[in-house]
Amino acid sequence: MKVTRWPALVVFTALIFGGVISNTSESPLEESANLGRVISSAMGSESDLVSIWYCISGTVGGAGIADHQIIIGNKSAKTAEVALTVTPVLAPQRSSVGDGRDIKSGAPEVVQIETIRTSIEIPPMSVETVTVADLPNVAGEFASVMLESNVGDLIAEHRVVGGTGESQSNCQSDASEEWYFASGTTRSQAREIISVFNPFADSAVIDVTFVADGRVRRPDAFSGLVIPPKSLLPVDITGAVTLSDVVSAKINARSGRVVAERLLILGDEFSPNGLSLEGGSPSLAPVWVFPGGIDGSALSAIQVYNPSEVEEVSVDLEIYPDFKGSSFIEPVSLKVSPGSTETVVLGGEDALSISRNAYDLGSRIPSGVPHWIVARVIAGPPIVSERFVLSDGSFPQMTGSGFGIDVEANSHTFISTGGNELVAISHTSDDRLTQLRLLAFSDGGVYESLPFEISSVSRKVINLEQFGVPTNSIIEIVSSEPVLVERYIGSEQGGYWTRVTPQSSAANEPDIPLQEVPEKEIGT
Amino acid sequence: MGSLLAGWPSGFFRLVGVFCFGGIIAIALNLAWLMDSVVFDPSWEWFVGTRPLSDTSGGLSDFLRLQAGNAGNSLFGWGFLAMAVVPLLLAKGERWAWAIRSWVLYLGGVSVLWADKNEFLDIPLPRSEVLLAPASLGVAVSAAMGVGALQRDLQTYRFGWRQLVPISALLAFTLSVLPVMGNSFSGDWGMPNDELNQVLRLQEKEVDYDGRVLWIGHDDLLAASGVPFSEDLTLSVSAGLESSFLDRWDSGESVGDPLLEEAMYLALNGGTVKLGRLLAPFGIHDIVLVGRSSPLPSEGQIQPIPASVEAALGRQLDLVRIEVSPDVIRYRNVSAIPVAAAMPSGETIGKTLRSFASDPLPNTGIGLPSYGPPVLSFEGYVEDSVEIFAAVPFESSWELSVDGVEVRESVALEWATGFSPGKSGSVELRHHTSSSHKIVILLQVLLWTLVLVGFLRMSVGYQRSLL
Repeated sequence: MKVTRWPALVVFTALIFGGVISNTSESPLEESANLGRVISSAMGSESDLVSIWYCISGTVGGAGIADHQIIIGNKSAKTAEVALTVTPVLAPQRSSVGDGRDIKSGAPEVVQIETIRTSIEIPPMSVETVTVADLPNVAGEFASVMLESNVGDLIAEHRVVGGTGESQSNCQSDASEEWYFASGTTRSQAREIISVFNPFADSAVIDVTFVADGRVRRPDAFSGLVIPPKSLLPVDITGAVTLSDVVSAKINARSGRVVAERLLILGDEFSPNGLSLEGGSPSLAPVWVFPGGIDGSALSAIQVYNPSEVEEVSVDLEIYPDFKGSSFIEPVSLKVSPGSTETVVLGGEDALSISRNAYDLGSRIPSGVPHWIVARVIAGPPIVSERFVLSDGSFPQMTGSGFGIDVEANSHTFISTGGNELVAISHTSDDRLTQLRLLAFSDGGVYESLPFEISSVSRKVINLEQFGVPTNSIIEIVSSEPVLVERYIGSEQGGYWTRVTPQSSAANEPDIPLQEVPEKEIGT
Repeated sequence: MGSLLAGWPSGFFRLVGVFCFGGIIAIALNLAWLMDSVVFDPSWEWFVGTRPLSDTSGGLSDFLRLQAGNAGNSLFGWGFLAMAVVPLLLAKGERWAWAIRSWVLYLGGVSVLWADKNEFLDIPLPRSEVLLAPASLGVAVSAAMGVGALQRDLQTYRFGWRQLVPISALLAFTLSVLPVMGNSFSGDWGMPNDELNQVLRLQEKEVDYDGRVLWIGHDDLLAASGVPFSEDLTLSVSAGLESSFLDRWDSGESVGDPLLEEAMYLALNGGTVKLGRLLAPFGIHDIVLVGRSSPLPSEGQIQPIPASVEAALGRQLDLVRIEVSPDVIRYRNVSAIPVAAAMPSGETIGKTLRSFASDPLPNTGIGLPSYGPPVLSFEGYVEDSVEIFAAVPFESSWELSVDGVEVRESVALEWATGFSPGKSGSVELRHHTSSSHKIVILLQVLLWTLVLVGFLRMSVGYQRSLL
């Protein structure tokens, strides 16, 4: 039989070459739109199964330097069952070197006391405050509290009250392998305690690195610290990093994940100069916003910590006046070397009393001009940035450190105990305004404000008192566009700006357009 | 199609007949599996499992070289194609027809892979290696026809370019054989060994193991069958840390599967940090993330677990991370409850899984001692204030008796079985095999016997015909 080869050969050849020609290239993977890093505090949603909060720093005994109170807010319509796990410890004085025991010299020691587990019920749309020392069987010196609730959008904050002042801040909602603190201090008459809590069922091993007055310090005593499961380690760094004006710290977990908070005690009960409570930042960010700006009446600084070991970072501090007609304020450009912290004093006099290496730019912001500040990485790795205020003792409540805001969201929540806080809201989008409304949940009821607006790339400061917000309220600020929010907790002793809690599902990296230089400024 | 292209249609119907007969025998031999997987859940998944869509790596040139993945610019694989071309140039008669048929088989396999790669198919397909198996068979048959053509047909041509073909064929053969020779030196032909099971077996021996394991990974890496999960993953549950091909038996979707998926999605979306408590009612004591078919240093398939999944599990407060080996991570569930447990009354029966798992002060229950195999049962003594929770689907033929008196089952935690005895006494929880299942097994035994008898009769008849 004669073989006709060409039809088969043509078909096979066409198939192969057709495949080669129409071979499509691989499409790049789409990047996730969500925030791809851990943030210290984020509010869950109603659909979440549980909510967990870690309130780490505070004391329950001893000298009562920072008596720990937990403030719990339930804005849902159902009763929240909240289990509180109190982890108390005794933190005795460090043993003297050469006492014969096989421990690292100067390593922090604690005696874990039996964990106390109790529960409370929070009625719908209400706030409860729990003083930790008043809970049954709680003993010891320091105590952390872990809260677990069957309500997904429960919020928890904590307050410390001591002889040197009082301070309120968010509790932490997540653990992390890394924690950063930019703005600590062990100056004269100051004490810094970093508390580390391991909420997991396996041990964590951490290393602590300090940057103090331009030098990186890795004390052996703070290397390879083992934190057993569900235990607390308060580390008083005052003895390890002595008399440093600015102390930045990095906690890195070799294994496991932990939660870290900082307590700053300035002065004593005879000459109090402030108590500051602040959770660490579990991640670095390229942009930090200070919607509250700087109070020119006190010595105020922005501190920028670059924890990278190899890369220098260029940072601009952009100052946005509230009034469009105000003259342009030239940004402050900084170069932050690897593993170092820079301090820029933007308010008050005698900048060198904050740090001998501080940049004194106290005259950069004209007196009385309301403003907000953005710390933006221009080149280099991400950073952490904090605001540091040092009072002369006349307003001790002003003294303290607090992080800027590194995420924007459409919903922010916090607990207002006084009903008189200020709230600074920065709206960074340059092509639209945002509509906002304020909800206050208190005593089983909900109060809703009339909508208000903030125009593009500007901020607004609102006073809760003007909205008629009752005391002990859960405040929710809902906006049509993502915004950055900070609140001011004040008293007769002064006040301080601190973070509020964004909704976790709505949190995103801030998108802030580069600051525009007015044409008349370019001409000059 | 090959027959038509070759212009040699004879034998087509015989081929179809053989295929049909083979199919009938295959159905008979796998009846129980087909009853479980296909009849009660007729879907494409029974065939391909939970493989994701367009999971093929590599390009057309790789497929033509019979490579399942991206093989770079290696020359060696082209030897197969070169050998298969020989009969297209030389073969005549029936050898030509078989060469064309085998080329259709070869290009058919390659085309399916290519279509999958370019996302032209809206269904998941088996692994590339499986799809390349008929293609390889096609190349082998074509090469065999090529050898025949070199022996018989080449000499029928006048002297010309065709006489160079044997040299090309020899070169192609060398190219094809060299990689095979290389693999043969290791003794295991580059195949991964069973070290994953060995490593996990050691861990299982460390503790008195009595719990289920949730496996998360790419379908190709998991021994047990399961349900698809986010980001091209599969969730599967097995009875222990060791797994085997038997776990591949897919008995269809369980009533608990959607709840299991919901729990995992909740954890993935940051909705809980108590995943262990959510998984506890499924009897899950461990979670294993599998990113490699065998641990290092053994070679094997690698399908890394997405970082989001690892991060979500890392956030859970009641999971203890245990690094088994790179890309294989085990999490021990410290909130686990026993597969059969005595729980305080009202803890599970009539309660939702979410309310059970969100209890801030949870109760982990007391396990009932197990007996067996061959027939697994749980026995113990209970007070009247407890209920018995069994982490098995409701209406799954488990029976409980208290002092010999049968207790009616109830739905517990939306999917499982609960019993509320209401009195104290000795309890026995035992599985009762349904009569329909026994009938299917008997039917399969009968069909196996028939096939064997038929095969023996055919063999004897063939031997007689030779005599």
